[in-house]
Amino acid sequence: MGKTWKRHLEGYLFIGPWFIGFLVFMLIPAGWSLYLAFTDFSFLKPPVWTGTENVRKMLDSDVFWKSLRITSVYALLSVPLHLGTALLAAMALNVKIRGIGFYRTVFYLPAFVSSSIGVAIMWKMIFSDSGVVNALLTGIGLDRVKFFNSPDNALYTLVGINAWVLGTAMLIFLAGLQQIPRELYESAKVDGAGAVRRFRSITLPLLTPVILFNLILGIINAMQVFTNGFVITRGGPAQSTYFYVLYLYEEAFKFFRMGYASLLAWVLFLIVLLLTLLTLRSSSAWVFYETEMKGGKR
Amino acid sequence: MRSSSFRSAAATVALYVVLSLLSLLFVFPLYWLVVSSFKPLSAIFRIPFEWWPVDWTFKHYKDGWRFMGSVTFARVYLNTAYVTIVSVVATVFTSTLVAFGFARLRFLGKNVLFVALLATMMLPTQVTLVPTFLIFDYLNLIDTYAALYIGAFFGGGAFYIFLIRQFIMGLPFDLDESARLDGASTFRIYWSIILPLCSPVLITIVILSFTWTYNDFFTPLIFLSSIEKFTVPVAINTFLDEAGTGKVGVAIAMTTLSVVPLLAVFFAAQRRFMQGIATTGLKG
Amino acid sequence: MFSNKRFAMPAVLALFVLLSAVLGACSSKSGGEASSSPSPSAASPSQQSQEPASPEKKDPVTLEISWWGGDTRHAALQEAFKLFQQKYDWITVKPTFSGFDGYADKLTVQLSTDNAPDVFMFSRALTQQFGQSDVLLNYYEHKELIPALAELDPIMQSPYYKFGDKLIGMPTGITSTVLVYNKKVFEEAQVPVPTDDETWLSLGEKWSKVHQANPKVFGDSGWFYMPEAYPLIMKQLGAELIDGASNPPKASMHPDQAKTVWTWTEKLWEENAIPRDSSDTIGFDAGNLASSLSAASVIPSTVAMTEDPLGFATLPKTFDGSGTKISMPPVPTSLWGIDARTKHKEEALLLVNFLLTDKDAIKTLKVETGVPAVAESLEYLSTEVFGGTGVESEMLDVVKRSQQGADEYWLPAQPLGAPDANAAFQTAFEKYLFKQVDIDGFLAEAEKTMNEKLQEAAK
Repeated sequence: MGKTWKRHLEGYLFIGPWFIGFLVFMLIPAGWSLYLAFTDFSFLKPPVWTGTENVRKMLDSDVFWKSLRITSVYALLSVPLHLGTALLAAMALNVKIRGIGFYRTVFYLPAFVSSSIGVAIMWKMIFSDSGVVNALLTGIGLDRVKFFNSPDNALYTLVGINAWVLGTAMLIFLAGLQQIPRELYESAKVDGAGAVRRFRSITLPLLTPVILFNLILGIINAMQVFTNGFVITRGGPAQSTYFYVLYLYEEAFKFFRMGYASLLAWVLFLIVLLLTLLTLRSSSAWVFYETEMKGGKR
Repeated sequence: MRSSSFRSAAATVALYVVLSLLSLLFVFPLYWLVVSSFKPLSAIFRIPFEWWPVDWTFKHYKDGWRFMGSVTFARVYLNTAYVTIVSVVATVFTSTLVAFGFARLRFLGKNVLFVALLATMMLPTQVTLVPTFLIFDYLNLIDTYAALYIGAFFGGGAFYIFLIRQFIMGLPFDLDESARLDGASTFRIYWSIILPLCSPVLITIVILSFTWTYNDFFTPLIFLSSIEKFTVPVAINTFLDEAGTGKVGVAIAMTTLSVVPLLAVFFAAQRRFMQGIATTGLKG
Repeated sequence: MFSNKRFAMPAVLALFVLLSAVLGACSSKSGGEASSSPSPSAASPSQQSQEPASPEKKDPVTLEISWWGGDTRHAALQEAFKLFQQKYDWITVKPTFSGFDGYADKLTVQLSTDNAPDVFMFSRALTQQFGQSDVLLNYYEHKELIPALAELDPIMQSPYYKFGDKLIGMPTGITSTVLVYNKKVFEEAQVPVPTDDETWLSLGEKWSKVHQANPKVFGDSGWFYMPEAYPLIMKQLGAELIDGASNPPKASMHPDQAKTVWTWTEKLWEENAIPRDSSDTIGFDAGNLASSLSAASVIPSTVAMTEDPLGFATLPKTFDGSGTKISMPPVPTSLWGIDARTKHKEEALLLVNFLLTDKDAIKTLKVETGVPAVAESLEYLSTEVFGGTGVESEMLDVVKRSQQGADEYWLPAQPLGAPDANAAFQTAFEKYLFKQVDIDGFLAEAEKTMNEKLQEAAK
């Protein structure tokens, strides 16, 4: 019995730094916001308990459903696009040719500046009616397209922009590719496996832990998309990019309805948690951890 | 032989071409920033876009560097460097420790806690702002540098922990087992065996935490008041008045300037990618 | 393990980090004071007609003050504080500021957690929200310590300054919505520039003519987005959008007058005299804007962004030349609020009063926080500091002119729920703008949703 007790303690010692931080900096604020979800809280006065009033209001609200729909569409489109392009880029940049470092840096560039103020202005200008993109389109004989000034196109434009910031996911895929031991490829080549076969049997399976990571993170981030909707489109035009977290933010800080906003946060939390758990559950079918290989020749 | 080397040469050329074309796409924003930073304010928004400045000015850089006069941008860079370096080092140490725990050890509640770990990324921060602020206030952390890097000492965030955990789980258990047979303690396994094999992901963590801490606008905005403690994003923001008016040129110039250290760190770090990991030496 | 060289570097780093962390945590608020030693400026001892009696106690006091703005405002205010500290030598002012983004969010969190500065700038859009609690000090309770209040009281009877009977904001400066126009564009199009006697119809005609002469130029970028211009035009046609007096407050779209306005707008959209949904960076800086409805307080920064000469006129006072001439009174650019929980009420009030009335402060601040609200300060600035020249003079002048020549001065009602109602109007309007609904659909939805919001807030 003493041995297992020691094992548990050891585990907690290792995760200790996170665990303590979690208790102090996460659990308490999260618990507080859960309480707020059932109150009327305007920041400057003490919260007033209102029970399920906020829930009723949320379910009745058109905007709630609309913003949920917009965010889901965004996630559905941007996650595969973002991941797919990041993986392709990582593979292209994993090659050992001269100057590859330069290209890697260039591909990562957007991630450096994506949070800066200039970029929002720049996007608006690039996608404006007489901006660079339309200049290219008309240059090859196509009609002008309205991007951010059309309720039909604004959301897809944001999806496209999101793919451009593939730097982080790409970097992680790169690290994942780097971790695959070269000897596996070498012995496969010796066994006569072609490039595609090598990709399918070695690269892809061994990348699955990382793919899982990027997938889960992608879902979490896509469902919480906020920044570009805030600085570029302000939720418009005609609420076509009114993301869920943007709705939440306005309820909290523009209309001082922090109690209701807290409920919105927890609803999102539950949705994302569900999606993540589903993904994790499915992962046992397609994710390959080398840890699980017991003995045997590779 | 000849045909295969020709094919690989052609493939390489094709790769260079594709990469270069795509690079244009990725470089463009930085190009826009750099070029705009040298244009007078009235020229920045001109239609059509000026690919090369018609009039040049260094005024934005001068104004930006001067910042508040008593506090120059040099000070701002120093603050940011300090906070960023502390964050990165603390993050690397603590996140690997925690990730190892989740990846390799078995303990009561591990799966639940792992889900809790992921869950910490799922609650929008807007709603935990007030209680977090109160906690920080209680701990006397308001308006200190510590408020900015304290998170790094507690794992740095679920992102890094989760990432490293995935990597460690990709390493074969045999390594641990053989070390264990040799009498190594758990910490020894973590430090001497697993950690060195994680170098690609560690480099990634360094790059990412450096970039994100450096570019973090919200945390220093909320928790700092003293002007001489401002970090780069907050300092740049002080040039911007309502709805994008104000010294947009200065903001663009200082943003451009602020990318330089990031580029340097990235370029230096990713070079180590080339070396890859030491072969998974199953010998000994 | 420390004998191994490989660990030397990480160990050193770890040590460095630990030390720094300890040091960093120790450098709390007290360590970071922006101690500005008052520099002997060439300020002549100013004759203050509105100076309150100095408080008796002289224990050293530190006042915290925060604001948002651009770097010129930051510099001007800090200069003004130096002067203040010279005059009231037991008070130290600790300033903090940020750009516009995030300022209000931070202030809200600070107020919510009792961490706010003693004095802070806040937006007039938030007065009603802040007023619903007791967190902001009621200036009426301390009239004797802030003499400027007596003179300004008449202009402060609006929801921008007051909540119910409480006065919770003193203006940092005042501003009006005025018409800013590009002289060069009008000259090239050979169209007379807008004057103070325009009507909306005549203004629209000028826009059309300018656009015909130069298809790249537009009249304005979307005046109906401003929560103040559209209600003003409706009022000029005899219709008030929100009736604040009824209980609950009621919104009516007045379809007859509304259609007059929107039919006129449709025509301008058709001619492209004003852009409907163009995204071409419409601005003076992009060189494709003929005129713009704009707050006077941003005139200096607008002028800085373009090389073309700009001119200023007041808003049209009637729609088509008939009926009562109606203008809006000046509104506060932003407001100074005082945290009711502050331990230094007297010093805080001294500071606000100083910024509004002290001649040296006015000279330093100029128009950085708006046009001076106190008449004497405005006069002083206008005649002795600017001497009637420069863009600041023109700004002061157009704000003055916007307070003249009308038969009636009117502000839209802003009952509880007004922000939600305005947002609801905006949503309905955008559907109309992007042709998702027609005019009747727009007006019907706007009225319905606005009333929903007003009723909900009144509960």
